[in-house]
Amino acid sequence: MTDGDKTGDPVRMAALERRYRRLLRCYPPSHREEMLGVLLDASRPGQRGPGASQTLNLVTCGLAIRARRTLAGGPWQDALAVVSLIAPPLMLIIAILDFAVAVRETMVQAAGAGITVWHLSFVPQLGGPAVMIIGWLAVVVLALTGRRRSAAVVASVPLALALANLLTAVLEQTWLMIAGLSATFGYPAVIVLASPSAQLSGPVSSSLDVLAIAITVTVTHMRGTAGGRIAALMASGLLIGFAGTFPAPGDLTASAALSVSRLLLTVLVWLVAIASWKGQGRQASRAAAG
Amino acid sequence: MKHRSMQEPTFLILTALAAGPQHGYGIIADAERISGGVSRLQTGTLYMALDRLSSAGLVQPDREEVADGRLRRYYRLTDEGATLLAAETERRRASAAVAAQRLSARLAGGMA
Repeated sequence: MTDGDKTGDPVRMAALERRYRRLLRCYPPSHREEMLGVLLDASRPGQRGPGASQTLNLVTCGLAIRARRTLAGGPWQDALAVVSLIAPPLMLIIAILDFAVAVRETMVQAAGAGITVWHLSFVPQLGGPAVMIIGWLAVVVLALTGRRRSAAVVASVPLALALANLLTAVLEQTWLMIAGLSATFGYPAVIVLASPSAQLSGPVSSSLDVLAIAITVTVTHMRGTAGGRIAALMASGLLIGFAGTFPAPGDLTASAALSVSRLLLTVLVWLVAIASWKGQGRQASRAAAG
Repeated sequence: MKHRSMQEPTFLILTALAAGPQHGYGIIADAERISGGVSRLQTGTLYMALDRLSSAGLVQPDREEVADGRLRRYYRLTDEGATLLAAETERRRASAAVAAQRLSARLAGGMA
């Protein structure tokens, strides 16, 4: 309720303004100058900086505005709708392949130990893939019957497992760090926010798959026709998914090479996406100017 | 179509704009008065709501002024915004009337 700026000392006001400007980067540029005025008008005399609760409020509201604007309409929404349609069945296929690989390894181990599989009372390495299959199957059924909200809730089980896997991988193997970070940022940004039935699968590699698929869909959506879009999606999704499933775990060199190549692929797709995004921005600003 | 009840910040912002266009800080001060000093809108909350209400066509930018070297953008209520606020006001009036009725019944029961 006070015009703190008129009575406060200029040095302190400049410092306060600087701190507010930093926080206002969370907002679309069109809001920033206007909000700065409101924040300074609302500041108390002698105030040195935004408090914790104001900082939190500014950051979360800014991110909420950006998320809403990004997801409301336009190519992103369409692209994410396609992802939410395709991702659950694709993740189910990947989970089944994961399970098949785990079964094969178990049999090899059992043969090496000189016993048959049926003598193993509990096979822990089959538990994870089996849960994944059940989870994705439920998600697919729910999504196909139009229960998108339930599908999203059920999808949180594989999501939790995927994040736990991710954390383990990051803690155990440092070279996975980059892939893990990229996947961590990719999840909330591209998948979870977006589509009620989009989700994630087991290992780190699969999270990158989903990210890559989402980006591929977005890019092809912006550039291509409907047929080319689906073809590109299926091709890249299946290729990446299959590639991640088949190499024998334990062969560290092969897995490391695979992860690096996936990472490069993801970065490449990102670059194309950014380039295409900027191209669209320029077109839009030309249209607005012209 | 079932209406979801309106959130308090939205109600306060639309009410603040009902009498005429105001700028951001004006809305915050007015909303505090309207709520009897109970609600103080945070700046982030205000602009998140204005951003959403603008794209829903319930409010729109009215004009810009520069005061003390600062940009002040005024917002006004659109006709759709006024219609929605009227419906929400009626809903609140109806539930407040029920509350008042029940309270007087309770009072009468207590006296007996």
